[in-house]
Parts: sequence; C-alpha cells; structure tokens
Amino acid sequence: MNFDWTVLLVVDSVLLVVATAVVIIAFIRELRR
Amino acid sequence: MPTIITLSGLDWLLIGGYFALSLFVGYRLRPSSTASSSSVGGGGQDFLLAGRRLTLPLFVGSLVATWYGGVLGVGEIVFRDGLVSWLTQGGFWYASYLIFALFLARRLTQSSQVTLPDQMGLLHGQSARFLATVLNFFNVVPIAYLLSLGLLIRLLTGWPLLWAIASGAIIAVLYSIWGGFRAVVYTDLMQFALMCLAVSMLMIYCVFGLGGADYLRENLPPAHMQLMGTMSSQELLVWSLIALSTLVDPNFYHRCYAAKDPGTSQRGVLIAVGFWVLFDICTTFAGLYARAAFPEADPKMGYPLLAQLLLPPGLKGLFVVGLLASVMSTIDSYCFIGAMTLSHDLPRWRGRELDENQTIRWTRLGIAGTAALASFLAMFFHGSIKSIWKTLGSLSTSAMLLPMLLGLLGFRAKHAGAVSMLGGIVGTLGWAAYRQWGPASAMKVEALLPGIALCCLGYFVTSILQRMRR
Repeated sequence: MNFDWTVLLVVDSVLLVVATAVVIIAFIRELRR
Repeated sequence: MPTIITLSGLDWLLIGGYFALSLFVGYRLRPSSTASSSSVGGGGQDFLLAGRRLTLPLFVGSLVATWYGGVLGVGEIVFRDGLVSWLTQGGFWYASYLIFALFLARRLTQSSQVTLPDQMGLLHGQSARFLATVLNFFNVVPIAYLLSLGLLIRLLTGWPLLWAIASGAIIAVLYSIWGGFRAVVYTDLMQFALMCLAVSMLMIYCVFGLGGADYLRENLPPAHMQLMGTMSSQELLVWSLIALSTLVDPNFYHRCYAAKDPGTSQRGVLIAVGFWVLFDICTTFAGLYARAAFPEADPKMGYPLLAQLLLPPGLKGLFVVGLLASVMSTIDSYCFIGAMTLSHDLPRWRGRELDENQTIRWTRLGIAGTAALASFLAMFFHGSIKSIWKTLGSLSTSAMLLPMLLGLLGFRAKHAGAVSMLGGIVGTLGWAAYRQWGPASAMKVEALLPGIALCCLGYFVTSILQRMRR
C-alpha cells in the first residue's frame, strides 16, 4: 500500500492554524488580566 | 495589465476591513501628551521599545510576521529551484535562529540597550557605533518590500505602479507614526495570524483540489523534488553563510531589547522557529503545486494563480489580506528601525540624548523619511538599484557579524571592532566592483565572502597588535 505523504502537508497546515490560535488566545488572556 | 485575481465584493470588504483595522490600532495606541512625560524609561523608550514590556505572544507574533516580507519572492524561488529552496530559505536559517536563541537572546535583553548600533558602541566604542549606524540604516530601507507591496496593489487594482507604491507606503507606516513600536507589534500580531491562516488555507486547498503526491510527481521536473536540487556544494555554503545574517539582524535585536525579561526573548525566538518551520513547509509545497499547475507562468505569480484557481470568494480575499499582511508587517518594522537612526543612533553617537517629545517627533519624521526614500528608490530605480542595494545590505553581515559575536562573547580589543568593520566594508565593496568590471570568473564568488575574510583579518591583526603593545 502506498502512503501519500501529502497528508502530512494537511497536518502541517492544521498545526500552524492551531498554534496561531494558541498565541492569539494567550494574548487575549493577557489583555484581560 | 491583465488581472490575475478577480475579487468579489466580500473579498474587497475583507481587504478594506484589514486596512481600516490596522489604522484604528495605530490611532488608538498613539501616546497621549500627558503620558509622554511619565512613561517607562527615559529618552522616549516607551515609544521606541513599547516600554520594554513585550510579552511572549507579542514577541512571537511580531518576530514571525516581521521576518517574512517577501512571500511572493519565496514563491518565485521555489517555483524556479524546487525543494532545495527549503534548504536555502529554511534549513540553514533555522540553525542561525537556534544559535541566536541559545547564545544571544538573553544577553541582548540583559544589556538593556535600545538599538544594534548601541550594542556595537558598548562593545567596541564610538567609531564602531558610527559604522554600525550607517550600515544598519542601509540594511533596513525597505526598497524591495515596498516594491513587492506596490506590485501586489497594482495586481489587485490595476493602478499605475507609482500610485500603488505610494498608497501602500502611506498605509503601512501611518499606524506606526501614530502609535510607535507598540502599534508595530500589535498590528504585527494581527498580521501574523492572517498570514499563517492564508498559507495554511492555500496548502489544504492545493492537496484536496489538485491531488496528492502522484500529482506532484507527474507534473514537476524530477530535480524539483530533490532536497539538494542542482545546486553545487559551494552555493549551499554561501547560503549557509548568508543565513548567519540573522545574528546581526536589527529586528531580532530590537525585539530582544523590548522583551519584558531575558526568558521571554529566548523562549520567543525558540517558539518562532517552530512557526517558521510549519510556515515554510506550506510556502515551499504551495510553490511546488504552483509550478506543477502553471509550468509556463511568471514564477512571482505562482501563489496568486493558485488562489484564483482554487479558493472561493471570501477565502480569496482572506488570502490576499494574508499576502498584504506579510509585506506590511515587514515594511513597518524596517521603517521604524530606520527612523531610530535619526531619533536615537545619530544623537547618541554625538553624545546627545533627546527627551521624550523630541524622540517621538524625530522618530515620526524618520519613519516618513525612510518610507519616502524607499518609495522613491523603488519607483524610479527598481531595475538597477536592486543589485546595488543587495550589496549594501550584505555589507552589514560581512562587517558586523564577527565583531558583534566576538564582542558579545567577551573577546574585545581596542580598535579591533572598527578596524574589522572597515575591513568588511572594503572587502565587500571591493569585490562587488571587481565582479562588475573584472573577469567573468569573479562572478563565481559572492561579495560577502571576501568581506567576511577581510573583517576576520582586521579583527585578529588588530587584537594581536594590541596584545604585543601591552
């Protein structure tokens, strides 16, 4: 069975979005303090 | 000029909203007249360094966004060279970022300086400070980035390049003129989120819209999928040296001085490396998809063509906003650092310290002046000036890298800093002239290399002479 490595590109993109969201949420929490 | 991207009303609404929000943030963060006399730190440090209170999210967002200025340029390189560009534009740089994080970030924050020339002056004296001030200014005038922004605006609106550059420059610097460095980092955070969202979105649409690994294998030249590509080991060595310019990059230094503590700057750079890795994978493979889908296209237009092909209305606007954000976040930071030459570095070199109000006034003037100079050069000399400015830009690496690193690590000798910097300048400019008018074989060696060699020679000879005198 052939593994299509472009799935990893999708994982990379999702990780980038999640990590960005974490930074923005951390910033909003700081603003609220 | 034919329109590559057709935008819907919703797309335009998003673009307009982005510009309006950037200006609103800058306007809201402008210093009040009563606050200026009581802000943290003397000499306008609140305006120049956001009061040295940069927290981790702001540090990361600002550094990541500022570092990526020419996303269209990255697309062009990937389109032309293939996967090897991940090594030349990514891999080598990560090593430099890690060296910066592990060995420099904490020291810089602890040193409590304001600019990179300050640091050089502290380590090697007034002559070195002056040379660093001049080199630093040449390094940060954002000609190529303003040209990119102008081309992008022309692509969207069809305006003449002159109007496109001028309008882009005005918006990109207006918020920093109002709000100072605080406005730069707050807008950077927004721009960071937008650009990350834009490239992630494009990547996902490429995989599901065009196809997986088989699609790339069938439609790309074989060398495009090889990590080493067709580059020689000498070329790779040059790229690895160019990546070391990170270690004397004024944007890194500025953010470390503005960080609230040494731990924030070290952790911030390390986290930023993670973002750059994820981001570079998206931009590299999107560039490969662009080459596979449009093999005959203008390489610079790879990403816009993909967006036009794959993204629905609304998301296309979001993608364009991401592209604009990546260029604007770099232009504002570069203009701000260029302005500090006028409001901080030159007065300090002459032994003067401006007060809060004078600093704000001169910084604002400097931002406008740097943007105007860059716009003028981008508009009227963009054909010939690029190579000249590339040489001037590489001067800062060849002349400052060694004295800065050795100085920070405690190896200092009287006059060694200034002499080695002059060596770097003479070596780089001399070789650039030789490349221009000398034999064709001179083109094989980048001007950076003789510059670094003469800089090393200057440092070590001066150090040995000083030791012998003692």
